[in-house]
Amino acid sequence: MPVDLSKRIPVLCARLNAAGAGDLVFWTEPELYQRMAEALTRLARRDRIFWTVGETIAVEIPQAVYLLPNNAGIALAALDAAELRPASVGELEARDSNWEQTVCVEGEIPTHWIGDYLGAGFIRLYPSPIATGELLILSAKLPDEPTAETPQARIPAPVADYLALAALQEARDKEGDARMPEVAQVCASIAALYEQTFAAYWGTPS
Amino acid sequence: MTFSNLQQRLAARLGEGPGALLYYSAANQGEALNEIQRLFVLLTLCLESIRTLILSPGNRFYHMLEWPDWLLPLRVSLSQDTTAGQTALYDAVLYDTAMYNEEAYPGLVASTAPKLRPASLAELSALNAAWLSATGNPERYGLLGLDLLFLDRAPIVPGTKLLITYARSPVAMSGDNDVPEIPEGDHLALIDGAEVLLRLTEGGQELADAMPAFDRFLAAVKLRADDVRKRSVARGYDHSPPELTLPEFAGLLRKRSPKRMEGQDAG
Repeated sequence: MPVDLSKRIPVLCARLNAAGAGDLVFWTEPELYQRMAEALTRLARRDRIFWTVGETIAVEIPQAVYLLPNNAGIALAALDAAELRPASVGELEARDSNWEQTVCVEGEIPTHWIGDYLGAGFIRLYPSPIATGELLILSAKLPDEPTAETPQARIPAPVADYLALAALQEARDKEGDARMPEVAQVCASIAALYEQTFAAYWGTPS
Repeated sequence: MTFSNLQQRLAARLGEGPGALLYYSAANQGEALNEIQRLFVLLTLCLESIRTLILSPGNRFYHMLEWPDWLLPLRVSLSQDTTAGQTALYDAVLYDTAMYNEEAYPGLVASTAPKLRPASLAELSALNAAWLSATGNPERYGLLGLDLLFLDRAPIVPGTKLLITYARSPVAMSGDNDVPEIPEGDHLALIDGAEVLLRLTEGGQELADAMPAFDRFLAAVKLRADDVRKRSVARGYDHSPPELTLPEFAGLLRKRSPKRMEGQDAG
């Protein structure tokens, strides 16, 4: 059930000495959403907390490389419910010097996958398939950025508190007459407590 | 201590008079108290609920944030309970005491099925290379990221349920007689933490003067987290609160003493 980040805006405004979003002088409401969205993206990137079982990809013959959009890490790849093993190029070269040209023999399916093939965003299967199938990928994603129009985010309530704190930190660290570095410093220290805890509970090391 | 008591004490701490609030509205004080209670619970995992998760035949992956108060699984077992729990909420019948699981709580029957053992994806793969096509009653589970729960076997019988004990976020206080869900001994810590959150509006010396209160809040967090860790070990839970590196907040905004400044100038 998504958290509504718009409910954090009045709290943020009050902590920025404004009666509401319309009363903000040195910042704007979209700016506050942007700061929350940036903090959420940084959290997702650093700790890889958003994992989904993506839609299955149709495997075609003899295509070995498939695009994985919005992919921040792969935990599992399976072809027709058979788990494939992760491998590096070095491992495959050691196993098969002609690995890039190797295709499955009749009745065989790919056994390994290489993540971030051809740069980030692609997965390569080894050996190349000779039969169609369904590729299931369990991957880390970057979340959709919350905005004033779509303020919902699928996060626990304490993560929403953290995002508001991070936005307050950025707002009070912004160069200008309303800059309050001591407030930004305290926000950063409390935010660090949240970050330690998030990493301990939900973080997935690379 | 009720929500109303907490707000009165917080207002006094902030220098607000006994009459109308001048600088800190009741709404802002309430938000700060709720926010700091959520942080306390996050750091200590001191609140738990038990709910049943109805499994779909053939499905081994579940997003647990369908339960809005979800934080972490503590214990998972196959369920023989016939009720399906609800989200924690305040219950007027029990005089504004938060009920963790209204429907399941009164009639909850302890499961005699063994608990599911926690495992990583790599462990499931090592135990059974064909685990992704294995079916039957699950024996192991794991959590990936915030909320993706996975099982070693996909159930085949419709209505198969898991009984999940999980650490959860507190119910937000809103009514005057609502009581914080954290243990009573820690209620004062909420005033300490909320004071600092509210002083973020002012900054400067007021914020610096309030910082020792946050250290008191963290001291209460540490005591409670130590208790919860022991309890988690005793109950064989799969997660417990982490040992955090806690900074000293009182010194965070401490001004440099004239002596130190002189020394630096001389250097």
